[in-house]
Amino acid sequence: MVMAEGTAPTEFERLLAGLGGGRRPLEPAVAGELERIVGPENVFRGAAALTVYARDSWPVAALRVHHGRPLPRPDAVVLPRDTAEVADVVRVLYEAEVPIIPYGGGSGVLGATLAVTGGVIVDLKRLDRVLDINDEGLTVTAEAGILAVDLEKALDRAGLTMGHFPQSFDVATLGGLISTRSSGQFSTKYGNIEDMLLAVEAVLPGGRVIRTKATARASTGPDIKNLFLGAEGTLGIVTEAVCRVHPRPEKREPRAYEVDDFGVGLDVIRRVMRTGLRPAVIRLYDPLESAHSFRSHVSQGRCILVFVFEGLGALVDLEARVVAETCSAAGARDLGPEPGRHWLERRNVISGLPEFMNQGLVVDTLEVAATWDRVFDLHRTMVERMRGVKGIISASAHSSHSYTQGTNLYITFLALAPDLGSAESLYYRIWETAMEACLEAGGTIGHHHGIGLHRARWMPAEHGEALEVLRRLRRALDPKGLMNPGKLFGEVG
Amino acid sequence: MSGTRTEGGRADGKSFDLAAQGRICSLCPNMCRFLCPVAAVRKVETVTPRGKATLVGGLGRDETLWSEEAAGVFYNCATCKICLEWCPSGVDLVEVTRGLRERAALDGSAPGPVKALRERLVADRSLYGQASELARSLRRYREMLTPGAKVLYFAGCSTAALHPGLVGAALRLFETAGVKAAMLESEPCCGLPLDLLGYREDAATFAAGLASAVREGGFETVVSGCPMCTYVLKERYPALGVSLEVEVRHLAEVLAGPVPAAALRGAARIREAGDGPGARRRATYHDPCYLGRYQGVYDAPRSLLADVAGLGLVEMDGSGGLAACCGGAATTVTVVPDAATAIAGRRLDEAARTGVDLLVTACPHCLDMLRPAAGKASRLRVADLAEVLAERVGAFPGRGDR
Repeated sequence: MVMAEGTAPTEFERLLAGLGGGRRPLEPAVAGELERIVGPENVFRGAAALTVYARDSWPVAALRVHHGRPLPRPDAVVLPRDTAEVADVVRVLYEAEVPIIPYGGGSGVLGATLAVTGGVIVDLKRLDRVLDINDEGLTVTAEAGILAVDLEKALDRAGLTMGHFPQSFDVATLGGLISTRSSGQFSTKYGNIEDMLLAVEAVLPGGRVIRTKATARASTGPDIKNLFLGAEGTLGIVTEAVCRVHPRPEKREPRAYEVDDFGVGLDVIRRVMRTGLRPAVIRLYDPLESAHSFRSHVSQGRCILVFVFEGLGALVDLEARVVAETCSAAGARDLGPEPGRHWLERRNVISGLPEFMNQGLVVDTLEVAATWDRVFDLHRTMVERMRGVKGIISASAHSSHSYTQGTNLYITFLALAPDLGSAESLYYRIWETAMEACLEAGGTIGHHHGIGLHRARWMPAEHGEALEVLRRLRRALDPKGLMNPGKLFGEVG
Repeated sequence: MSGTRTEGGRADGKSFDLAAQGRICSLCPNMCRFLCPVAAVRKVETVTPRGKATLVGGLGRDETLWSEEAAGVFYNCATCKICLEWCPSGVDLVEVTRGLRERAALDGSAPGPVKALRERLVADRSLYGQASELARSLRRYREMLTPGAKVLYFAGCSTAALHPGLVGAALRLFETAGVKAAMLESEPCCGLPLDLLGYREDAATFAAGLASAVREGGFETVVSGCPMCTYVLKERYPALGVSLEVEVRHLAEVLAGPVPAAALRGAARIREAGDGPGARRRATYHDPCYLGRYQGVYDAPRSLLADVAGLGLVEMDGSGGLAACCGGAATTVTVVPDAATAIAGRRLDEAARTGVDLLVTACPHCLDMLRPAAGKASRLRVADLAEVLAERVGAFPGRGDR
């Protein structure tokens, strides 16, 4: 068990203990087989590499690195170069009963790539080719390890866009985005990753390669590709994907409004979505976040609503007019294009986060969603409860992905633990409070970060009996339970 | 981290805590990773900026992590500083890396090729064979020098050994621009490769030797077409405890000054009148990391290319502060040569996408990476600023230089 010496085990350490101590060292013969498949230069077993691969962007992993607390290390890291090599690697490891953890950009924030029971990390970043850009059919076929930014650059050169711009755009891989059910900042127009995915190629546990058919639509039974959306490597490894793309927008225009309160803002969004129009970006910040992110634009205690319209010029004009009318009817104040420009420029800058954490503050974000009838109450309940946790400094939220039936809430919290040792515990207390409040208020526990290790414990409460469907699927596809163990299904902890 | 400096000696005189910088970096979701040229081609997480920072954190708690493997990670850095350009927290990971390299150099855990390079450098005083042989190869340019001039033209061993034609081009440009220049009898290595690879004491010895030769010559200004030389002379010598007490400038900075630039423009016009008007040729400019990000020289080469060479400049996707590296730093070329070649290929692809047929840079190391990357098949010609300008003002010596 991974534990800091001389202290009581933290929640994380107890969770690891619950995952069992059946860890076995990697047999030299198996390591040799891996080297034969991918070349010795693409197998890493040294302590330095394993230390780096022991983490992702989950704050608990970052805190443990920061505080000098150990994390469970994988036994090896392999970097195959194509699907055939991935299949061979998976076949060898599955036969040898070694856990297999797929790895993309390491930008996940819930510990989905932590090697909690040891095993081998399969880093897919050498699978980075764009295989086909079809302008007529508006599709792109690419390997799973390509960074989103590189894929979008290739599309941009062809006059196209995928329209998928998560904050991890510069960091995440296509396979990672699919495997966590990612959302981009322009999702209200272009949809989330599930709306973009047309087909996948995946390596199943055991090493068999399957491909689903790329088509405009099908009535051919349950959609097999959907099994890999959000599966976090538990049902197989996504190695290639065909995605929908769009012509590059002809026009882009930001606009912002100030509304009296969060409820008024939510109602404006709801009314806009009812019209059937789809502004690319709709973001509503609660008073605390409005003051923090748009101090020079918004009055104290009010909320800011930021829109970005893009697409055909005439459509942009129509969206801007309808939004202006809706906002006017709600008594909103027009703030012009400047706050939206400010957001466009700064949207992926995370300045402050590492500094805050370095000063001993506990910072994280969590994203939930609900239907329109529940979302106002969800915001109030979660933020109020979280603010009640001893040690918390602030809890605030914004809505950033909207739908005809509801929206998400992206909650940021900042807390200060009395000492280094209790930072992890404080983190867990805040999360527990947030998740319980979310479930109680009828929200769904995750909107676009996925489940990973950390959120798996709330999966039974989220899905109820329905979770059994996923668990049985998992047992059918991965009878040995070797694919990314400890993640997603909430079977331990 | 025992054995590792805990404070960096930055050229700006500010000291900073290497471990603290590493901690900040390790707390970030690796937002700059897409810009890191080594990470882009090596793919393995360990060499990304956050990978290195995580290792720094790990070393802080577990000394047994330090090994040749760990040391090797810190040599997997092109030292291009594009991560610093992007970083909202201002983490200078290259300085952090320098500290770890110094540790590796001291305790012998540096990679084999690094140790071999150091031995060769210490023995030969040059990256490319004996410094004295290089000096002989440069004697043909003696007639172009002005004994007793206050400007020292320092070719640098990469220019002298690999692109000697650039020495002639630079001296002709000086002549045309009315700049009187002299050269040292024998040019020793400036010490940058040693400094870069962690051999601080050796670098300081080299620096002291060159500084003494410069002082003895009574020069007021040192000019070089190699940005790595000008950087180390200007910024690193003080950090190594060596005082040079002269102004150090890159060739582009000197030629872009009002008087030299006017003279060069005049010569170019006379040449143009003789040749007749032609279509304005288009070119793209690759910012060398050590000239741009390290010394902030972005405009001078561009203004010379536009105003003197009469070129229409088309910028690449990444230019100025966000210009991608060519892979040419001594570390990448020495430790991960395949990665260095792949990095050059990526930069060349960017240049090719501009649609121009001329790629100009202002560094012999960049030239050395980008020219082979272009190969014989490419329609993209790769040239140094000095040769492009010399051709334009009709001053290219054409003495059979390669």
